[in-house]
Amino acid sequence: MYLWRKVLVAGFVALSIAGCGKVSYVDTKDSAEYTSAGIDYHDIEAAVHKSVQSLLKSEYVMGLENKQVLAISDVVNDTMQQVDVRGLTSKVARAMRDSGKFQLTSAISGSGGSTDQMIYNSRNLRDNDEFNQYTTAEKGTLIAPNLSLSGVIVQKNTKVGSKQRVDYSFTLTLTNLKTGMVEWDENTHIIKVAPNSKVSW
Amino acid sequence: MKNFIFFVLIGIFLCACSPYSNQITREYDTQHYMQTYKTLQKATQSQSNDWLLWKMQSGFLTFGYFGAHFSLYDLEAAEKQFKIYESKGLLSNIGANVGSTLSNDMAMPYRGLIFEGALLNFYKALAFSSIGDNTQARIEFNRANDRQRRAKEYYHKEIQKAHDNAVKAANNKSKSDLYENNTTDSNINAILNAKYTNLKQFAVYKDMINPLIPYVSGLYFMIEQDFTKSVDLLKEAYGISKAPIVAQDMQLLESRKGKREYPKFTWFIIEDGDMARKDGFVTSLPFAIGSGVNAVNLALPILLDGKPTHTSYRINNEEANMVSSISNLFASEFEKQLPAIITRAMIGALVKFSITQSINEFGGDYGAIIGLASMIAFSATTMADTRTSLVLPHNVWIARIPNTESSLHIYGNNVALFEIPITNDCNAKAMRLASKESFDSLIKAKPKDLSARIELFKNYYEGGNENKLCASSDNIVYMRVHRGTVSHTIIKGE
Repeated sequence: MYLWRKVLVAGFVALSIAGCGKVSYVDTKDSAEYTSAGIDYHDIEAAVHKSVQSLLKSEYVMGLENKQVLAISDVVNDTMQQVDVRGLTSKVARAMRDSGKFQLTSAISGSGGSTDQMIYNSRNLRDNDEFNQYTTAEKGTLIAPNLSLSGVIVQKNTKVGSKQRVDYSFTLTLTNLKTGMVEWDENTHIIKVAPNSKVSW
Repeated sequence: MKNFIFFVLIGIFLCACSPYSNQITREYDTQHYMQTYKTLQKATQSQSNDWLLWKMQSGFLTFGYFGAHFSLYDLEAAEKQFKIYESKGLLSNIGANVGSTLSNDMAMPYRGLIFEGALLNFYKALAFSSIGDNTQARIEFNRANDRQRRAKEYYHKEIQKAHDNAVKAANNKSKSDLYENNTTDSNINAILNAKYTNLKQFAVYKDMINPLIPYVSGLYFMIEQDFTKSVDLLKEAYGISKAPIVAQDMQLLESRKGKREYPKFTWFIIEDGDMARKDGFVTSLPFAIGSGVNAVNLALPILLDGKPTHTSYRINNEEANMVSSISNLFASEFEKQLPAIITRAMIGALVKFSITQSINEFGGDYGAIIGLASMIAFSATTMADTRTSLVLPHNVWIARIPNTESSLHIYGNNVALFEIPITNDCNAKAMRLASKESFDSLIKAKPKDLSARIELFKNYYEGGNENKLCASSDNIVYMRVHRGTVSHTIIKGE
């Protein structure tokens, strides 16, 4: 009787494992075939690639002689879904740094970036006797940014026949913080079409 | 005898009534909101046909009576389930199971209405706004508005599909054209014209757009200084509601453009009364069956009027405007669903009639007795689906007052209801965030301790966290007025 019970349990376990379906890896370059109406890796990559190419070929960047200090400002997610905004801005900022013409500050940022709080925590050590005061950061050592990268991701859904057309627009803007002038901006559009019943979030 | 008992048991089994429905209605209508919350939580502990209905009610109740930021937990869970039903089709169960037509529509899962889905996102947006999470609030406002945009087209397609599927499924089962012949558009229209004459005067939102959603979204984006987005939403709300307050806010928006400093205001959203509810009635209609015409009973839902608590509101000297009637919005969507509901009721009635007739004819010596028993059992199950959101309001009112006033007095039908001062003490948002974190921790640590949750809700209000408004920020206050109860929650402001 006990043996039968074991066999039954083993059978159920085997069946339940078989029923779970196989999980498999998908190479990022092949994952486009599993796309949805939402914003995915490929959309972010496409927006970053187009924006960075446009920026690096711009008259403004070509004419730069000194390294510029960049801060990531607000990037508004005006869509109906969760978007990894920081993932997008960090990819753009990395490509800008790789060009050798920009440096990124972690001392100040808007919603599109992240501020490293340790910069400020470490300055709180100035009055702490436990720390060698020669090793603490002096006042006036942080470098202020002179450029700000801001952006907005907009989603607009419209009905086209029996389907939903989903338009995504990624706009990035580089602003000179001293003059307030826009030095560069770029707009990338991604358009998807999905059945009416599929919501894009 | 065995067959007789079998049919009686089937009758009882197929009744498909929610065990919690009466209790929840009674507790809510007698203003025992804490007890209603407990019963709703109990009703959603395990999956059932009414799970979505009760989960939504729990979210709406918590939002309106215990604090917007505490409602996210239930609203998120409800929206997740709503989305599943929405992708499958909110009417898809109309033709899903002919067998269940032996019972009634309450034997099928409550799949929700589009206006309820949009309200889930709307309340989530307000709840996120109350804790200063503007990223999530924006996403939820966008979702709420998009759900509404798709509503009209959604029903246009879904109703035809639901009708065709129901008839096809029934015909396959019986291998006859009985169902197709009796559920033609003209038959359905005859019922609509005879039994639902009053509905048209309430079903005024033809596109099923609740103007409250674009209005409050527009207001929120104006406060957030996203003027371009705000003006489009306010225009949409004004086009539907024609409420003067919306036009005044559009003027206010224009006056704020290009300025860093401007006078601040407090807006009140007052949700009043009880939304219209469904009731059922049984009617006898002639159907072409075989070579003759037989009278068959079918059960259909009907809307009872919504119940206002007050018919006018005033804040200090400012008269409030009625911006949206949730009862009429419900009536508008109910009207869209009716052809599908009638189709299903007709098929159910025909299936039951055919079974009873077959038993009478082929039941041998006991045929007549068993036929009678089955008829009694089926009569007991001939009930309309009367499941309705109980917690939603009848009408929504809006008023705007400048923050230069020191205290705001709210009157309903000229009777003083509530008072709240405007002060320079501006730390309420931090307190809301802290209490939201305490609530989340409590749910993780003691998921079944409902008394502790209720204690937390009480302590939050008794701690004075919602008893003043900030003079230096634009504020939005949400108020719920239901019978003798007045509750409020601050959804924008420091």
